[in-house]
Parts: sequence; structure tokens; C-alpha cells
Amino acid sequence: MTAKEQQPNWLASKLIGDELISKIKSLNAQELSWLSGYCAGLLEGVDNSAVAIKPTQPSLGTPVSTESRLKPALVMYASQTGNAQAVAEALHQSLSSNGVEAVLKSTLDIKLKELANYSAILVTASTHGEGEPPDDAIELHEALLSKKGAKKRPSLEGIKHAVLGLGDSSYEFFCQTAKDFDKALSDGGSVSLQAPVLCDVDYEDSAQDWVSQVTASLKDYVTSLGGDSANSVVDVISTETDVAPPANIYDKNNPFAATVETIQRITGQGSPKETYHVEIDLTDSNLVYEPGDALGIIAQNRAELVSEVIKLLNLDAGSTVDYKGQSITLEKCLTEKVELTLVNKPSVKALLELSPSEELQNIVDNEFGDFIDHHQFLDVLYIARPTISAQQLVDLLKPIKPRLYSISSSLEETPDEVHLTLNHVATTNQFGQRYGLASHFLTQAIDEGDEVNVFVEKNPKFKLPLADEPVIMVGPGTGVAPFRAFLQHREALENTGKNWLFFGNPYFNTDFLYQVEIQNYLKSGTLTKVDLAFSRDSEDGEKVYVQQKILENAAEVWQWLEQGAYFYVCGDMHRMAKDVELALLSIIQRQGGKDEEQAKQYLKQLKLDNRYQRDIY
Amino acid sequence: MSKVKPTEYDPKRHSEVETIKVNSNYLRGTLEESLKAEVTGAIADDDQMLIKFHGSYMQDDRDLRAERRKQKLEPLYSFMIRARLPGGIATSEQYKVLSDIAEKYGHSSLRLTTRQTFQWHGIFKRDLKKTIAGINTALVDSIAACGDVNRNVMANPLYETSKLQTEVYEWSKNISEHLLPNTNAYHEIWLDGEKVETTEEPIYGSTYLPRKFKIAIAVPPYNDVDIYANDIGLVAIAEGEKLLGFNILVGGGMGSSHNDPETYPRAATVIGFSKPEDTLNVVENILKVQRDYGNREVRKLARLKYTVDRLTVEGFKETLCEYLGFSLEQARPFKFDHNGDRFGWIKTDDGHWHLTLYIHSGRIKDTDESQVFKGLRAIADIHDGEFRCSPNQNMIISNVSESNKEAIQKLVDEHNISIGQSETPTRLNSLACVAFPTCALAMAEAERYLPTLMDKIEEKLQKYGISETPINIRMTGCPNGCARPYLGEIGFVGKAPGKYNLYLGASHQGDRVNKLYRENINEEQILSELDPIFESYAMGRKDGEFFGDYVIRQGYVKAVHSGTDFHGQ
Repeated sequence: MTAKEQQPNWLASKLIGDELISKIKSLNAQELSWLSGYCAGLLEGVDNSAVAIKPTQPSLGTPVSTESRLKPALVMYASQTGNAQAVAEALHQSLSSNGVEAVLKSTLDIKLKELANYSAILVTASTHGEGEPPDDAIELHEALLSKKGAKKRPSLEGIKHAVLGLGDSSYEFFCQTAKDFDKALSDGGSVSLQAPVLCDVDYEDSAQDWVSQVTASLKDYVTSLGGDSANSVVDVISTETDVAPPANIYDKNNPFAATVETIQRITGQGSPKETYHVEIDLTDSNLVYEPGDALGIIAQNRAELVSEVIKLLNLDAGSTVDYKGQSITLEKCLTEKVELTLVNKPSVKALLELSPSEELQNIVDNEFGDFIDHHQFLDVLYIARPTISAQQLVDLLKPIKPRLYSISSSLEETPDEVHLTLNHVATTNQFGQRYGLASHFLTQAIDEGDEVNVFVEKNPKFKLPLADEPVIMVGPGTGVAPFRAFLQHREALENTGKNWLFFGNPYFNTDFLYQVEIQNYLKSGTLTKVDLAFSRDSEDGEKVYVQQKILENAAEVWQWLEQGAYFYVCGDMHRMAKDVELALLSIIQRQGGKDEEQAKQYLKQLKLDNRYQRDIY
Repeated sequence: MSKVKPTEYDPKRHSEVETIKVNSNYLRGTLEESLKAEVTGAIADDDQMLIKFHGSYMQDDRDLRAERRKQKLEPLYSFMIRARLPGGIATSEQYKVLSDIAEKYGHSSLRLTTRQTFQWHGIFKRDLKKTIAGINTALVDSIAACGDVNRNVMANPLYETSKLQTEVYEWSKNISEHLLPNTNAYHEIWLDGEKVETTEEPIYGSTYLPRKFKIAIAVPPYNDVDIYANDIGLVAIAEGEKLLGFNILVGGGMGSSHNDPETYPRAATVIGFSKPEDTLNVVENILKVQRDYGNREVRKLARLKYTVDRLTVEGFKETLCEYLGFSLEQARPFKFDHNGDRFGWIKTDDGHWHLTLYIHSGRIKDTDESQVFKGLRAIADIHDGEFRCSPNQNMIISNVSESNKEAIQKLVDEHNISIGQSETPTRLNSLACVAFPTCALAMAEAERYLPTLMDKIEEKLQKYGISETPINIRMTGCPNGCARPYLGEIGFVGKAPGKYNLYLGASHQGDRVNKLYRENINEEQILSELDPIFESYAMGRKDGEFFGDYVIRQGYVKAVHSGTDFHGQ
């Protein structure tokens, strides 16, 4: 089936499907008002050449022969937080405006053999953790890269491709997913239009350049193939049925200075965890968020760290440096502008060029991944002991990366507030005590009443289902944050869907986050069921985690899934999320009487139906 | 005389607790479900009342309450478990188990009580069943250690005539066993015992008693059990080694409420003498009179002492006679010297040694100064006798053979445990209840504060040269009377944090309660009030005159002879 043929189905499902209607019904007054304006705007601006959504398109339902036209280009995104998707959408828009027929798809919706149906494959892909692809790209990524997949992969001869990677150079496997896709496409016979562009945290400018370059290259390419780009038809294929919420005025580049109202440690005395509940006032910001969204925090480096760096390098805090065209003091630059807690490979390499260090070089070559887990840029300086100028220092450092925290409140419950639930990150290495940037800033450096720069980061991939659909939430530790938002939301709106929470932490007495609230949700009936795993309470030393609790409830979990339950996971991606997925697969196999392959298929279908959503980090 | 009719259960008039008892299916309630509820460290409200009958109280750490509220955590709930240990005697083997359970679930601490038993504090709900089951492996249980039933039966734990001591101990066991609730609930809930369909409570009935019920046995001249503070007191009357029977006392009790003249502490009244063969019958029927005539509408007026005063002593005796079918004989003469413990080594007539250790506030726990918990456990390893709980929160290493004496003394020294040789007699005689942070009733500190106050009081005693005269000082965090504050020659009863009512004038032998002298005063005021009285006592006391008698003779307070005197002018 070509992408073209999907259009009527897609539109039909959008318009007559229960889902859209229910979604519209679930909107609040503000959202509805926005939506009516949006639709009115659409109607006025209908333009046959290049509008993303065209409900009144005259060709609706009319099959168009693919023979008469060139194969379209595929814009494919592998996105976790929505950034890669946003770049893909921008590219798609840009191609359309330039008359290049293109199809926009998530990696989740692409089958391996389908790749041969396009004239060009344009990929945006983010990378997470230890070089891992986003959830929605796992299957395609594996299919493309495994030996088995390589055999099934269609020939990509004659196809052009371009890849944009989004990543964080403080991680060892920087933009690995993008690199993997680029290699797999080349291995399949496709020719790259240009070398992959790998973007760091400050990706916007590079991404914009990439969009322009790719658009230009592709326009030339289409013309060279004899196509009449001006007459090409553009399709939009997206699984995204969410209606976009009202746009926030404030964003990453223009954050809102919000007042922090409450900074409260919520783990009890004697707890091994320093977990905090932070309440931030959003009055007058017009910032809007939904359960599942994240709050971006732009934090400042702590004063002690800044002065330690300055002292170590024998620099003058008051000396002036040029930073992005601005002349500011070194101290201000180090405090407000540049990243001092995360270690970026490019920064370290730049430092090594200025001031060689055998020890540091050795670390970079052999154990960088381990190293950056436990060290900060200050430690790099302790190892290298470089002699560099203030200007050299700020030039090699990356800009401060905003930190994202899953929001733990609902606007339905706390209309002018946003709540966060976070651990104060503190570790000790051979050079001293080290703290997480934003967690230290929010919980230790500032006081209640102080301001912090924030913005809302949408997470369209972590959203509540319809009001009457059941929900299973797995959120150990601070992973409970978005589920507190879910429960607030569902209780406030009197949603009738059942809710089941799995929570875990080390100790019942001190670490049962939001215990009293959870008890109240049980009393009110909003929470149908809670299962708890306190790993350190067992006296025989056997640690019990949430995945065991899920397995203990196998029959009931299966029953819920079969009743259409949405399964959410939030928290640690390295161990917990993997173990939970294994537990889930095991339940699907045993309870559903399926073999391993069928269970995987079942899980994949859950993902396709947005019934398996994860917010893991 | 107006006859008071026996009470029948009436849900309209009776207190809510009565209904909980009736509906509990003989003390089962929903305890099993409560124990399974993982989201809370607490148990259901009704079960909090019922669990007392199983020897446990739910408590919470009051120091943490406000902080945890902000942390969105429920209060830090835990449970106190109290063993039923008639006469306060545990074998060395039993002590090992009880101590090891404390190490495992009870923060390596045991609390000796003023009723001769052990308490485990701070047991979390998830460990409660394991702890109670563990205690039972030592053939010790906690049935009826709290609740509206007969509690642990006390008996003089150390008497030079060993045969008499043993006989009295057997009596404490017999009475305790005889008055145990019949319900199987304890075994079902805590020991996974087989579920029994029906239960009968031939002695108690389905509403049990209107209130707690306490029995003690004293052997004159020692009143260490504070016989006058009990619902039933048995005073052993002996001729040499032979036990002739018991004088029977009724209606003692400590609890009262601040500013409520209807409530008062009361020293028990002697109502007669019972031969050994009648004694179980007499005790059972006194309990039954209280069962039938006690106040079930107002719990604070439900103790036997109020029943006795309501019926009048003569009326009570008549009613008892109706239950028994005979009258008690005339009480025999007896005399008590004091109500304290005798510290250090004492030899009994059978050649065995007994070492009374001074356990500060009854707290068996290791501190920087003294390793009482480890020390007692080490003694248990080599000791083939008994561990006896004194009625004043101290520990007696009992029935030590001559050959083992030196080794035990060595362990006591090594762990820096006091045998009461370096403290003043007044400090040795001081008692404090647990109060903050675990007791829900506490209005002021007691156990954690009394030592500090004692330092300052001792300075004054020294100043006036009366350090060697024992004065009974007792402190409780509330007026309910756990450390028997109204039998203190000086009593402190908490009113608010840092504020106490000061009571004076109980007898040194423990047969007269004290009287309010100053209300709601702080430490500075306490010391300035006591200073001139100590000075006067040092100058003006007669030979051998105790402090409690002196303050009455000098008119600081009037003597209290009956319940109504307590509040009178």
C-alpha cells in the first residue's frame, strides 16, 4: 500500500473516529477556544499547494495513480521527546513549499520493505542513554542493523538519503542512532546526499541549516529526474492524532522567570534518597502543560564550583570574556552560560589540543563512558591541570543544557502551579563532592521565593488516554512524578477509567513518595489498585522491585491489558524499564498463551496503539 | 443502701469501645486485613483498640509528626508489644530469645515496665507478626498484656525465704492463666493457628471488662509491687515458710484526668482475708463484680476504684459476698517498709545469689556509657538461672550459683552496668514513664527529661545534706499514671511541654497517694518550689521521718485518705 492510499482512511478515522470526537470533548475551555480559532485560520488559509492539513481537499477519496508520478521522498523521524519530530516536520514543510512531494512518517509506522518505495529517505533521529534509539525506532533500528534484517532489507539502489542526528555530546555514544541509520542506508545501496549532521544539545541552528541544505539538494535531484516539482502533491502521514495544544509564549530560548514557592524534601529522616517536591508559581506566564509534559529548568552553576574552576586555572573572576558576541565577566559566564557539570567529548578534545595531558587522553581513548558517569568538567581540569586563558576556557565549553523534569502536577488541580519531583544528585569522586546542576540549584542553592527560568517541554508521547480507559502506571522512585499528574488530572475531571499504580523505592518508612496522597486516591476510588515494592525492607536481603510486583499480578495485568488498559512506564531506563518490559513480555506470553515472537508482536501493537508509553531516562 | 444493678450491653448508652468489642468476633476484628494493607504502616481504627487485647499498642513517633506531614508521609507508625510475664520471671533461655527478637525487630532495645515485664518498642507493622510469633517461640506470649482484661499479674520477685517466693510466683502464674481470655483470636492472627468457628468467654463475656484490670501480690515488708495501685492487691500472709493466705485489697488505681474532679488516683482498700484454696475464686468474682457493675458509658470512670466508691466499700463487699456465696474473713495485720528495689547482691536461704541491677528508666539499650543490652545478653549466655523484672523497671539476675557469681559480676563491670552503688537512693527510687516520642497520650517529656531534672534535684539534696535519704520521685508525661506518679513522695505529672503539676505527700511505703501542690510549673519553678521544702526537711525532720510524711506534718499539703480527698482543699 502506498502512502497515498492511506490518506482517505486517515482522514476518515480522524473525522469520524470516536477518538477525535472524544479528544475534542476532553478539551478545556481554553483549548477549545484555541482550536476553534485554529480551524477558522485553516479555512481561511487553504492553499492547494502546501498546507499540512487539508480537510477540504477536493481529491479526498479519489485514488491517484502512482504510475504517473515520481516516487515521493520519505521524511522519517525517530523521536523520543519530539525534537527530532519537529525538525522532520520543518523539513517536510520546507520540501512542500518547494514543491517536493514527501511523506512524513514516524519510524514506528515504517516497515522494512517499504523503504524501497521512496526516491529519497531523510532521517532525523535522536539518541538516548548508551547510544540507544528512541522507543519508537527500536524495531526499525534492529531490523535495519541486525544480520537477519540485512538479508530482508530491500535494495536501496538509486535512493538518496540524508541523516540528521540529535544527541548530547556528554554521552559516549553521541548521535549513535543517526550514525547507525546512515550506515544501514548506505549498506543497502543508497547514496548519501551529504554527510550526516550530528547536533549537540544546542541543535536548533544546525538543524535549520540541514533543512535548507537538504531541501536544496532534493529540489535539484527531483528536477534532474525530470519531475515537475511545482505540480507535485504533498501528503502528510502522521500517527500523531493529538490536537496541538495552545502554543506557549515562553520556550527554551525565552524562558519564564518563575517564583519557586515550595522546596520540600519528601523522603523521611534516615532515607538514603534526597527526594524533593518543588512547587513553582506560573501565574501570569500563560504557560500551559498537560499531564506527561516536562518542565525545562535553566539552572546556574553553583558559586563554589565556579570559584573552584577559576582558582584551579589561576584565572581572574572579574576578567572579561567574549561570549557569543557579548562581553561579560568570566564569573558570570561560568555561572550562567556554560556547562560545567556534564563532560562533553568535544570540550575535552578541545582542551587536549590546547593543553595535552597523557592521563586525560588515556581516559578519552579508553574509558570515557565510565568516566563521564562519575565526573564533571572540574575533574577534567584536575586531571589535565591545563594552562589556558579565560577566553579559551569559555570557548571550549558548551552552553548550559536545560534539564527536563517530568511534571508531577495537573493544571486541573493546581491551575497556576507546576510541581516537580526530583532527586538531589550528589556523588563523591576522588576529587571531591559533585552535584547535579539543576537538582542542586533547585533544592539547595535557591530558597523559596527565589526565581528560576523555566519552559514547558511537550511530551506528546506520554499522554493519558480517554477518560474511561484503564491505565496501568509503573513509576518507581521519582518515576512516580507524571503519574501524580495523571491522578490529579483524572480525579479533578472525574474520569471513570481505572488506575493501577506500581511504585517502589528502598524503604517504606521514609521513601513512599506522596504516601498520604496515594492513600487518599485509594480512598476516593481514583486509584483502583496500588502495588508496592520496597527493595530494602525485606529481612532476607532479597530485594523486591516493581517488575516482581507486576509479575506477581500477572493474571490481573493481562486482564487489564485485554480490557484495553494503557501501560505507562516512567523512570530509570537502564535497568527498571528493561526489566519491566521483560516482565510485560512474560505476562503476554504466559497469560496470553503466545510464543516469544507473538508476544513481541502484541507489545508492538500496544505501541502502535499508543497503549505502551514510556518516559524513561 | 441503694442497690446498683448489673450492667447489660446497651449500644445507645455505652461507649464506642464497647461496641467495637461486641462486634469484634471475640477480638478478631479486621486485624488480619489491617496487617495486609501495604499502603499504610497503621491498622484500622477499630483494630487499634482490639490489638491492645493482644498485647500491643499502635504508636507513632511524635517528634516526626509535623515534619512528615510536610513530607506528605503518614506519621511514622510503629507498635509496642508487651509480654505477659506473670511475676516478671523469664528463664535465661527465654531472655535470649526475647533479646534477640529485640535486636532483630526492636532497634536493639527492650523496655522494662512498672508491671514487671518487657516491652518492645518501634516494631513496624510488617514485622509485627514475626515479632509476636518470635516471642512465642520462647513460650512467652502477649495475650491480654493490654486491653480491657486482666493484665500481667505482678508478684514480689525477690524474697529471702525462697520457698515463699516460689509459691507466690506460682500464684501469679495461676491467676494470670485463670483469667486469660478464652478466645482463639490471638493464635489465629499471630501464630497461624487453626480458625475456630465459635468462641465462648465464660469469665469475661463478649464485652470483656469495662476497663483495664490489674492484680499484684506483695510479700511484706516489701511493697515493691506497689500493691495499693492495683485493682486487686493480694498481700501474702505467712508464718515462716508457710503461706496462710492473702489479705484482699480492691480499688487501687492511678489514672486521672487533669482538672476533672470526678477522676482521681486511689490507694486500694483492704476488704478482708482469703485462704489459699478460696483465692482464685475470690479474685475471679471480684473481677466479675467489676464486669457487671463497672461503668461502660464513660471510660475514664470505668476502673474498679470508681465502682468500689460508687457501691461504697461495704456495698462492694456485700455484692462480692453474693457472687461468692460467703464473706471474706477479717484481714490479718501486716506492715510494709518501702516500695523500692534492693540493689546489688542478695543471698536467699537456699544459697542462691540474686543481683539487682539499676536500669535507668528501665531502658535495656546500649549507650556510650553503658552497654546494658549487650551486657544482659552476654550474661544470658552463661547464666543458668532467671532474669526477673522488678516492679520498678530494674532487672534482677536471679538464682545465680556461687560458682557463677564472679563471672556475672565481671560481665556487669565490663559492660558498665550499674548495680545501684554510685547513684543516690533518691535517683534509684525514681520512676518515669516512656512519654515522648512514642506515647500518644504524652503531654510532656518524662523518660527523656527526668535524668536532667534529677541532676538538679540531687544538687539541692546535697546542699542540704539529705542525699542519703531516699525520696520516691516519679514522673509521667500525662495524668494516666503509668509510672504511678501519685504514689511518689514527689510526683510530676505532665501538662504541656516543659510544664508539670507538682504533687507532694505520698507515703514512702506506697499506701497513701499524694496531693497537688503546684500546678503547671516549669523547671525553674519546680526547683525554686522544692528548695525551701528540702531545706525545711533537712532541718526539721524527725528521726526516720520520710519526706512524704514530713510535708504533711508541716502542712505543705493535706494527707489524702480517700479518692475525694485528692481534689479537696
